[in-house]
Amino acid sequence: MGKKAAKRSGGIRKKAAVSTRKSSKKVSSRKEAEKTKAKSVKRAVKVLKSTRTPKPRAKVIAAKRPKVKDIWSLEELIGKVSAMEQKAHEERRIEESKFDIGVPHNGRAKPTFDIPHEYQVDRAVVLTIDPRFVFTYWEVKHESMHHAVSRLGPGAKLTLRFYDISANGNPDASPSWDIEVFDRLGNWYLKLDYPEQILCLDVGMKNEFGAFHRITRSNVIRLPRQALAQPGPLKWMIVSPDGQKIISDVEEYTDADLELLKKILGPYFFDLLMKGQFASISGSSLEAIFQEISAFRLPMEISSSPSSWSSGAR
Amino acid sequence: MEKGYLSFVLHAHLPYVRHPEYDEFLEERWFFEAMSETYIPLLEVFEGLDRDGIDFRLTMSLTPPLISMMTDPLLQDRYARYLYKHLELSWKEIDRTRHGHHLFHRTAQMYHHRLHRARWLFDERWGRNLVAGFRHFMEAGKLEIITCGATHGFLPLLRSSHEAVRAQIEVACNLHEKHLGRRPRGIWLPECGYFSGLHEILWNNGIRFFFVDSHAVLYGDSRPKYGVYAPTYTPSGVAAFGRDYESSKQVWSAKEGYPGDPVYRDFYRDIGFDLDFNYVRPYINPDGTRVMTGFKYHRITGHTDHKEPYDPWHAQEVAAHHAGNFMFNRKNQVEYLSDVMGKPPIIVAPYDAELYGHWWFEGVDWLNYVIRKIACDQDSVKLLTPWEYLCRHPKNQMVEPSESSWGNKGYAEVWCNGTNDWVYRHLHEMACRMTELARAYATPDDNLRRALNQMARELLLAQSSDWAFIMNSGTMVEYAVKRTKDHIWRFNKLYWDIKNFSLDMNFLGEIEWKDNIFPNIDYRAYT
Repeated sequence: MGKKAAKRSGGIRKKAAVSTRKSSKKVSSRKEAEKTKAKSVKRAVKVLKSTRTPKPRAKVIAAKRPKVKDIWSLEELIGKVSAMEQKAHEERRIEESKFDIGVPHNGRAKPTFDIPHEYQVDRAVVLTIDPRFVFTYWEVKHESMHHAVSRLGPGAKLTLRFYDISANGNPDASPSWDIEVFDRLGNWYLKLDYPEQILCLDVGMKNEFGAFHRITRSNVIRLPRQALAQPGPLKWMIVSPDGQKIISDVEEYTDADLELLKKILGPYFFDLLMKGQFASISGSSLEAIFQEISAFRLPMEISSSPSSWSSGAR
Repeated sequence: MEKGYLSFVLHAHLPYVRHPEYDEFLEERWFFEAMSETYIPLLEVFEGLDRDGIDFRLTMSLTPPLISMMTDPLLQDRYARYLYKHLELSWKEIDRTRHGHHLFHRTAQMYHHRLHRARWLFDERWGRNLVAGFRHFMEAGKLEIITCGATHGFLPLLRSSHEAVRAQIEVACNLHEKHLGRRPRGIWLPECGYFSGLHEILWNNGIRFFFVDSHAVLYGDSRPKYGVYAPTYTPSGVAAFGRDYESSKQVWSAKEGYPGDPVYRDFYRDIGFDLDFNYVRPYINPDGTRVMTGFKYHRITGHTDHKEPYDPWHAQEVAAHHAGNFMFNRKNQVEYLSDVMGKPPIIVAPYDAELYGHWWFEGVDWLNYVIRKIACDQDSVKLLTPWEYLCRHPKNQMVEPSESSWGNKGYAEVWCNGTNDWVYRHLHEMACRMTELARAYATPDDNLRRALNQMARELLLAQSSDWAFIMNSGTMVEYAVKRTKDHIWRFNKLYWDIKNFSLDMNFLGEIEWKDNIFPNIDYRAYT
C-alpha cells in the first residue's frame, strides 16, 4: 500500500465517528433482546447432515487483489469480528432511528386481548430466510393425529419429512429426510446445503417400521440464487411508454461480457460477486472498497476518498 | 452533454399510528418528528430549488400509511399542537441560552427559525396537507412520486397467499390515485423485498418500474450485462432498477459515511433528558416519561461521552463539502462507467427519507447542496427519474431479479427470526380466512360489507413489516406486539361474528373509528 493510500485509510478512520451515547437502560434492553434472539435461534436451528453431493460452485475467476494475510491470531480474529459486529450494529441503528424517541417502551402498549393459540387446521408452511436457511411452521389437528395413529399404530411419532425436489419437482420421487418433532404446533429453522434448492415438506406420522402417513403438505419454495447465473443468451426487450412489448434481439454471452462486468464492478466487488458474498456488503471493509475504487478509477494524485477531502475541510 | 444519470430515490414511510382513544400517544411522535425534521424541510428545499430555477429530479415514495396520516384531520390537529408547543419551547430556549455558551444560543435561534418556517409551511403554505405539497412538485414534473405496499407488508413472507400480495399492491395503487390524481408508475417494494413472479402482479396494476438491492440484479436469472447501471426488464415488462452499492454506502454507513462526521449534530443528546424535569415537563410524554424533544445542542464529537457544543454554521459548511465530495465521486463514477459501458449509466441511490433530517440532521441541506452542485458545477451527471430513463432508453436486457431484500444480510432474516417469527402463522391464516369470506359473500348487505372491509383493514395493518422490524430491533417492542395482536384479535372476532351471523355493530363501529385507514377499501381485492 502506497503512502497516499495509507494516508487515505487513516483519514477514514479519523473521520469515522458516531455517538455511542445511549441510556444504559436502553443499551441493556437491546443487548438482552439480542442475547435472547441469539439463544432462541441457536435452539431452533438444526443443521442437517446430508449425504448428497453439493452442486459444483461457480468457477471463481481470480481477480487482482492485494495480498491477503492467511493466518490470524485468536486476538486478531476476535478484534476483527467485534469490529464487524459493531459496524453492523451502527448501520442498523440508522434504520431504527425513526422509531427511536428516547424511551425503550410505552407503558400503554398492552394488547387488548389474547390471540388464537391455534386455528384447528392441518397446515405446514416453509418460508425462505436466505439462500441456505428456511423457516417452517406447522399445525395439525388432534383428529388428524388420531386418524394417523389408527393406521400406523400407537408407536407412531409426529415427523417432518423434507423433500429436495430440485431434480424432478415430484416429492414422491425425490430424496427426503425426516425430523422427529413433538409438538402438534411448532416451528423449525433449517440450514441447507446449497442455494437454489427446491424444497417442500410433509407433516405426518411415522411408526417404528418406517411407515409414514402424511397429514399435510407445505408450499414449495426455491431458495435464492447466490451466484452469477450460468452463461446464457442475453435477451433484449423494448417496452414503449404505452406498454407495448417486443423482444428485440438475442445475443450470445461471451467472455467479453464477463470482462465488461468485471470492469464495471471493479476487482473488489467482482471478487465478492464471484464468491457469492455480494449480499453481505455491509460486512465488508469500506476502507478497502474506497481504496479499491480510487485505485482503479482515478490517478493516485486525485482521491475520491471522502477522507482526503474532509480532513482538509477542518 | 451529460454522460450519465443519477437517480435519487427517497423512501418516505412510517407505520400507521393513530390513537383517537387517547389525547396523546407516545408513538404518534414518530410521525410528528419526521414531519418537523424530514418532510417539511424537504418541501422547503424543493421550493427553494424551484424558486432559484434549479431543474431538479427526484423520486420519492409516499407510502399509503404515510399519505393516510398526512391527510388525517385528527393527526393534522395533533401535529399542529405538537408544533406550537415546540415553538413555545424554542422561545424559552432562546431565553435560557442567552447568557450561556454562544453556540448554544445560536443553535436555539436556529431551532426557533426552523420551527417558525415549519409552522408557516404546514399551516399556511400547504393548508396542513403535505401531500398537496408533494403533489405540487409532482405536477411540476420535478418529483416522481411512487407507491409502496398498502401497509408496507414484506411481500416475500406473505406470498403463501397470492391474494394477500395482490391486495397489498392493488389497495396501495388505489389510495395513491385518490390522493395524487394518477396511478403510480413505480413502486418501492417494502424493504425492497422481491420474489420470483411478483412482477406479474405489478404489471397488472400498471406498475412500470421498481427497485431492488444490487445482489437481486447481479444474481438474476440471466447475467446482467451492465451490472446495476442499467435497468433490466422482468418477463412481464416491468423494469427493475438495482441499487448502487457505492453511492448508497457513502451515505448509509454510520461510521464511514457522511452522517458520522464529528461536526454533525448528535442524535441522542437531547434536552428532554438533560434539563430539569419541571422545565421540560410540558414537552415530554404526559405521563412524565422523558422523551426526545428535538432540541439537541451537541455535536457527534467522537467516540466519547463528552460532547462538544454544536455549531450549525460549521455543520452547514461541512455538509456543503460533503455534497461536493459526493458530486465529485458520482462524476468520476459516471465518466468511468460511460466509458466502459459505451452508453450512459444510471446510478440509483435510494435512501430512507427519514435518514435525512431526522437521523442525519444536516442531511436535507446536504441533499439541497448536492442537487445545486450537480445542476451548476458540472456537466457529466444529470439528475433523472427512472421513468424518464425508460422513456429515453426503452431497450433493456431481460433479467428477472433473484429473491432478496435490502435488509441486513440481504434477505428475510430481519423480519423472520426468533423475535418475530410467531406472527406469520397468524398472518397467513388471516389471509386464508379473508379470501374465504370475500369469495363467499359477493353481494353482502351494508353491515356485512362494512365488516368485510374492516377485516381487510385489520389484515393489512397486521401485515406491516414495521412490527416485525421493531420486534427485531428491541426498542418499543411492546407497542409492535400490541399492534400485531390487536389487529389479529379484531380480525378474528369479525370473522367469527360473520360466520356465526352475529355481527356486533358497536364493536365494528369502534374499530372503524380506531383503524380508519383506507376509507374506500373494497374487500373484493381478496377474491
